[in-house]
Amino acid sequence: MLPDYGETEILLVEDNPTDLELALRVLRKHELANRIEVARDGAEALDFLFGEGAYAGRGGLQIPKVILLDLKLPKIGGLEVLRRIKGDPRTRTIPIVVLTSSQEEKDLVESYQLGVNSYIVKPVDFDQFSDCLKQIGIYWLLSNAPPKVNAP
Amino acid sequence: MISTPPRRLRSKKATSETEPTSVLTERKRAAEAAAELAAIVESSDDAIIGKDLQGIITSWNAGAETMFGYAASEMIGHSITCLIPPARQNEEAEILGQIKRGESLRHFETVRVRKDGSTVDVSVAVSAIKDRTGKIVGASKVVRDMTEKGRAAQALIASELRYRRLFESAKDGILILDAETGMVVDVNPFLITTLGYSREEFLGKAIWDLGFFKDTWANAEKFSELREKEYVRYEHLPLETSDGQKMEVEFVSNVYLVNGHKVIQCNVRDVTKRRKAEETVRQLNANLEQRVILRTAQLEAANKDLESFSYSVSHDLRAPLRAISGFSRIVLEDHSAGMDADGLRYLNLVEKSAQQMGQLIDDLLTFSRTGRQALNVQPVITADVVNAALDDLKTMQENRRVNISVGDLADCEADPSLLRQVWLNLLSNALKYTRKCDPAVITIGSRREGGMDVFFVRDNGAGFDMKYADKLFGVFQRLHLTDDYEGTGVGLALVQRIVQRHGGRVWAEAKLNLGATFHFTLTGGHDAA
Repeated sequence: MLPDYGETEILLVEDNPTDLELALRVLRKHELANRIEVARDGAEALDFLFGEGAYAGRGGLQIPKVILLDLKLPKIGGLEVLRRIKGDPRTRTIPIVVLTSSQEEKDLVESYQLGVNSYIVKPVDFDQFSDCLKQIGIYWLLSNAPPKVNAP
Repeated sequence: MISTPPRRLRSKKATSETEPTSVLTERKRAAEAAAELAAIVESSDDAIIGKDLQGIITSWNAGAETMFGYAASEMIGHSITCLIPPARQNEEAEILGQIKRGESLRHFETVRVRKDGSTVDVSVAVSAIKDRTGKIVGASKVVRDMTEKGRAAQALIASELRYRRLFESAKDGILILDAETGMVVDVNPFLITTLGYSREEFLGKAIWDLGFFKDTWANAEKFSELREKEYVRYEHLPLETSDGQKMEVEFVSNVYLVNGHKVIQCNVRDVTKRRKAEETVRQLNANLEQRVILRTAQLEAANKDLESFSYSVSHDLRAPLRAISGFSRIVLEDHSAGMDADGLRYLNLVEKSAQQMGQLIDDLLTFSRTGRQALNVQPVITADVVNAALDDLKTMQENRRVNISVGDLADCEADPSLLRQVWLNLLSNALKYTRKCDPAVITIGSRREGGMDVFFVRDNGAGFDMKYADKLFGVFQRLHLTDDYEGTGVGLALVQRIVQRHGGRVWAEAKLNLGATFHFTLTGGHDAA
């Protein structure tokens, strides 16, 4: 029996509207965006996952198959979002892919120390960008086998 | 003054060869004793004169010649009265009277006349001369020039005055103490003015009772230490003046004997100003230190700013570029149907330019990061680095003839990842600029030169005109058109920065269309940047 991941397969946390549009276009094109949720800042992302704030009363905890996380975000930054998700036993198992423009070594190192599952530098070239997103989607939604949601 | 020494003392002639030996020896001894006596008399500064009871001169020494100006030959056999001023002529009779009575005269002060008529103050002592039987036969007079004595006394006074003046005018305080009692014997004006106590307040007081010394000289025990040590020096002694001003002095004391009595001389030098100057220097140094710390902090802040700037560049500039690239591609994919050839070409150019700018940003960030990141120097097998770099550049060697020969390569000490970047850039340049050569010939190696290993990469490619050699290593400097050889002009700037950070040097020699050789050294890995 497949575990119930609720409505959402992908949580895309992205504040840049053009990056968001490009990402959504690629995911849709490859039919990976059927059950996608978009958060425009870190706070919104956390509220969604923990069923708080604007998401209160929408069924509590949400466990997507993968979170695509930008680092430079308004309100609560990407690294802080990463820290909170990986620091909470209820959300720790959710695979997180950092998808960022930052090539800074310290961002990379800190992300891995916080337990990120993958770190992707967004290519400027659109072909490479779309190829990259497609692979991420296919890998985490189709190839990867996640643990049961309520496993301890 | 005297050219020929005349005979002054008569001595018996001991001559006869017929006399027996014992008598001869006796006489010889007597003659020696007489000669010794004569020498003593001769060397005396006093005038020593012998006369008989009639006042006729019988002997006249050198001192007498000097004092009165008469030679012995002039005086012997003459009356002594010629030395006596007319007013004192009766003195001689009195003297002779006394001598005849067997009395001797202790020094008495009188006046005599020189040959030139001038008078001289003298002190005279007269005693009787007796023959072997004890009968008084004459008198010996010892005459001392009192004018000389007076001069000596005056000299002493002058000397005393000179040293007194030194004492009075010294710009150091001087204190003379009685070593037995610790009482102040003398104090110079400088110390009086400096400390604001009167001379009376100093004199006759024990040093430990003087207000300004109380801290250090609170008891006689301390004083005895001063007395025992003979020499004591305090570099910074705190004193207090009569009006309560604090000052610091250098205190030196010496113990010495004056007429068998121990005296302590203390020299007191005001070092308050010197100390203040030292304090100022110390303060300035501290300030300088403070400023260095501040500057360092400012530099660190500037570095932080630069870092956050780089961060923004990498993050924020790339997003719009991706949008330009992305949406031009989307237009090309989804909306190219109604577009003419020019429109399509322009959109392609937009997309290509965005990619180029992305590359520029990436290169610039790499360049900036290379300058900031810490060096991790360790032994490196150069051949491994070169082979790995050539492996990375496989695609540049596809579909063309490339002859690469790797010669001897000395191992080195360097940051492995940065060194890899150096080789990668130099080798990719060699491959890039030989693109039009068939075959491309690339030679890699190292040689020993001036105690250093010089590494080099030689190619037979496009080369360049040496008059532009100084521009070669500048950021964004290019010697070729992008149409012919693509690039951002950061590669060699990066090579130079890395080499320099290792303490080395990079240079090139080339001829247009005849290839180029790049040389570099790495000296030990000292961060010279």
